[in-house]
Amino acid sequence: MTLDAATAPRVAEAAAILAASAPFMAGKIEEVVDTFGPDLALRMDATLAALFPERAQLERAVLGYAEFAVDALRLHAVFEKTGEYASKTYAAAAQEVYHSREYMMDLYLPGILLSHFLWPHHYRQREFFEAMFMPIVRRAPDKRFYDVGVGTGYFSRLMLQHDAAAEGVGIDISAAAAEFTERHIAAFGLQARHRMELRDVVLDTPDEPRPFVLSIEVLEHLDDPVTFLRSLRRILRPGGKAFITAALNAPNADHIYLYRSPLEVAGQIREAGFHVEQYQSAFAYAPRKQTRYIPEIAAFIAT
Amino acid sequence: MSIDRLRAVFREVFEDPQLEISPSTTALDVPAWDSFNHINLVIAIETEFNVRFKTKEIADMANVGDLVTLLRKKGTDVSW
Repeated sequence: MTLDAATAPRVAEAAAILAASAPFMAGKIEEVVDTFGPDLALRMDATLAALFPERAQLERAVLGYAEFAVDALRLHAVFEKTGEYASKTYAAAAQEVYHSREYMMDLYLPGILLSHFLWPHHYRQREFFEAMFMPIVRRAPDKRFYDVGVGTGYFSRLMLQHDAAAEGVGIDISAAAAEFTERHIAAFGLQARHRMELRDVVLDTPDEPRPFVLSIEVLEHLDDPVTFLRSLRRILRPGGKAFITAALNAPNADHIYLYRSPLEVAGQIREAGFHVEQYQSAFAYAPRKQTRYIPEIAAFIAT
Repeated sequence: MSIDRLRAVFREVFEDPQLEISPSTTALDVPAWDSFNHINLVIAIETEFNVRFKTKEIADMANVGDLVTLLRKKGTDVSW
């Protein structure tokens, strides 16, 4: 399928902006539309139209994505040689990234949001979530959830969109992430069923367990993922289900804990008291030449 | 500094030990120089010369001459 400007005008506009401002990424959007078909184009178009309705907003978001992607490639080039992430503590990453409003709003959050469509492993993470996790939510009588490390609010929004009875609390330590998520949820008219809380779930764990917990690509941002996972276990009601994902071999400005295999993540999830029911992993791309590491996402459904 | 270091980066990125470059060399002259390898080339040059390019600078590089000019502006002593 070739990108069709009539059915996905905002995606076509984003593709033109990317080609003009970052020609080395020209064709990237058309490529993923070709790979994943009209479903991707329509989903992305709805997101862009709701969140970046003005041309200037879309330009900023696309440029933010380009910067975000180039930064990731830069770090990956170093990672290929060293096999390690640059040494950084959670506190340093929080200061440099999560509490920097300008970095979060101009680059990091738009970059992550667009990557859910433009990075195949992110897109497949969403497919796994909707195919395997959402049916469990739909069958449950109580659909309340926590989304811990809510980021852009994308997965909270999917929960709310796919089940009209779902009701969620997004948790993050970043005020910028909370602001972006609130705007994201409101842009889709879902704000009555969602609220944000600024807190660190390890230091300030919510009292009331809920039947569903999401935590999308948070573990790799932490010094001590197992302690964080134990907090997630505490806020999951007995018999409830968690959707927990992690990025592997994926250096980024704020990635601290290096996971090298999905089984390593599964081991930590079990160590924290969960039972892993299912998992899927997806690679970012097929290697074009001899390469040591390919970024990957592992997604788990646990109880 | 001669162009040797820069040429070596090109040869490594494009996996061509015989590759020659000149100020007028563009992506059209190097079969493997596609958008993917363009960013790999830029990152390899950043690493080799300890510089950092802005996205707009990466986008505006039309040929190797532009690249050398940019490297000089960033304080790198590269000459033909």
